[in-house]
Amino acid sequence: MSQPVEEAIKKIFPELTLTSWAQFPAIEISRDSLLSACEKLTTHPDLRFDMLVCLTAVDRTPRLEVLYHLRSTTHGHELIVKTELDESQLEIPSVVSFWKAAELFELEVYDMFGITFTGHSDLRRLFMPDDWDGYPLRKSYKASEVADNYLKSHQLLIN
Amino acid sequence: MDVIQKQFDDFPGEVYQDKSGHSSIIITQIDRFANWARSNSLWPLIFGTSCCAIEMMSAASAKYDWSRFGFEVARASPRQADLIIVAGTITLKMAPVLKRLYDQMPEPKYVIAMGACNITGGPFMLHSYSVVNGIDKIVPVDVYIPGCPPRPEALLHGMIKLQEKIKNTKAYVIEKPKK
Amino acid sequence: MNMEQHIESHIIQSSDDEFIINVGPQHPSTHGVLHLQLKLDGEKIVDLRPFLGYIHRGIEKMSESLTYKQFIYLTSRMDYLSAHINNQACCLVIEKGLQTEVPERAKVIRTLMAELTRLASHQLWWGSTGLDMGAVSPFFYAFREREMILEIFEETCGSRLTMNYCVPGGVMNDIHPDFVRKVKQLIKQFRENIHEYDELLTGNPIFQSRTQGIGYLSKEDAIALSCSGPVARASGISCDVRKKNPYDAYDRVSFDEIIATEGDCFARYRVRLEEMKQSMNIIEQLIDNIPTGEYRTKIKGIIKLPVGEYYQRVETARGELGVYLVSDGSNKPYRIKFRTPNFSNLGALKPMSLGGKIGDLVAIMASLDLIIPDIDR
Repeated sequence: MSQPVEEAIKKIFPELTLTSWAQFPAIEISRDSLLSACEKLTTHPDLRFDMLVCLTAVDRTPRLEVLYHLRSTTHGHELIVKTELDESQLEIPSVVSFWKAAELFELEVYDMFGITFTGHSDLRRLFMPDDWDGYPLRKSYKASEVADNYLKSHQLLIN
Repeated sequence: MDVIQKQFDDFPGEVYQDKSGHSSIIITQIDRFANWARSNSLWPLIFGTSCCAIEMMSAASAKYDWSRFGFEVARASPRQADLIIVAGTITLKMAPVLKRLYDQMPEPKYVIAMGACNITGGPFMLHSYSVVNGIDKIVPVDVYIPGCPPRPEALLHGMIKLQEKIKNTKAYVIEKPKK
Repeated sequence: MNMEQHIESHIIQSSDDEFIINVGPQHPSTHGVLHLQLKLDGEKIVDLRPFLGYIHRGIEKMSESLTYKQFIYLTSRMDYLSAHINNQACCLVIEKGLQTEVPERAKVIRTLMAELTRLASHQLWWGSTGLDMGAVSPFFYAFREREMILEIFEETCGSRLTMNYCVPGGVMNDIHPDFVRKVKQLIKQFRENIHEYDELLTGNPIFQSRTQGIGYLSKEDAIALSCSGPVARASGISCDVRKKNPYDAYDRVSFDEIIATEGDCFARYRVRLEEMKQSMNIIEQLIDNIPTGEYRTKIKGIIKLPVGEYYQRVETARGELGVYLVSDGSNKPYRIKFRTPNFSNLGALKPMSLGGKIGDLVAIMASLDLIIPDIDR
């Protein structure tokens, strides 16, 4: 089932090399050509990736990888798209116009890693309180005594 | 027997004493009656955040019925409840909500901490950045029930212990030692 | 910043005729701690924003400090009504990485426990649906059979709700000698009693007028929001992971995938009721011929997965759960991501409830069957 998708990817994106991520084929796209690549991935009749299964990020300092897991409900094949960002410039265009599910996924990645998505209508902290410092899922964040300091600064402790 | 009302600076309640300095038998009987009424009709507030809430629902259903002990009427508004059973992990974002609910309840009020997450933080005590390690940092707790999650019978045992604690309080009188 | 300032900073633009109310986080019918901010025009809902994070415990960050055998117990607390299926997903990922073979007996036992968990979860959903709409009796009827299932769990695994029965390589202990007899007795009693479920709620005219035609979700919207589970199947999408990528013993049982096309609350209700009957069919096919043999393969004490990435998906009671694991060769995972079904199903709440009333919002949330710790992790 995955042979046709690999040939279609090689035909439509001849400049990219095809690797693999777990058991899926994977391609790596740079940040600037992300939107035009998503346009081709959703509209081309051989590909038609209409479902965004997951959007997540992995911290491999000094780089951060953003992963998109796509699936096609008409053809049944799946693909992983990777984008690498440097630690000093954590900005990437938002894909909300292609898949509505990206709205919540991108909020979570912003909250946990600090990557801003340009073009997202309502970027806010999702899980952590609004006045929280730091991005918890980065490797440099250590989770020790932050809870007691938060309670003390908000006058919630008794005795 | 003459009973007079006295005021003490360090006790905010009402004190009724007779001339010898003891509390009369009528007042202690009022005490016993008030404690009996109060402990047998505690109304809990519906407050369940995570897994322990399912065992609380099991304790409310027909097999481990908690309405035999008087807890039948579970209210949704804190203004009408006098017991809050905190079931489920309390995180930093939820802590001000819990404190606000506790402040809205009228006196006398009681708190039961159900589950390991509310005693010390439970399975999330180490390595987690957003869990309150024990709710006795925010509200005063009367009864602790260990378990993850505790069985419905354990919850009933905790509630009966709370009833025993209430029956042994002195609501209207204090006894000052004789000089 | 305290609670008032937090809420005021997020107020959406309001005109004179509209007002804003908060539903939750403490509410009798939000199935957990979900905070919704509604903008109302009279009783019609004009806008809806969810606020999450009230039960965010940082499970993904905690798993990076625990070994491979230790982080499995945390996943039981994510979607606690299908706790066994979450554990099964983690064990399958680790076994895929180590490339070990699981004995046949363990596969069948895992499948049986997963179907019993699905049955118990749907029973609790049915009871709380009635309770949210104002019908109190279905709650007690639902717990009657659920207690029988929990007794079976307690005898075999030791715990009622968060049983850590799956380990990498098989199951922790062999099944109780009374297991087969008790499961057969449960199935017989449930088949005799299931007509009561239909009499209490399905045929009730008040229930039907509160759920038919309410909360319509079109097929295109469901795909764009990547919904899964009974929510997607009631809008016409065929997405059952047990059929598309079978794991454990699902490739040797035959069952139907229930698909409806209306897309409203009543269709989701019917899909879940039919799924309960299909679960009973699966249990009946497997219970009489559990293969003999070992219940666990021996794995070394310290597990180290080779460098690389691994993925496994399973079908929980609410949809598709995906586990992504990135390993760097040490004895702790480098990064774990849980793609939970309730996170995407929450996105479907807004398009379904705009233009309706608040009473319809309660009916829609009951039919979506959200578990909030699964969203927040």
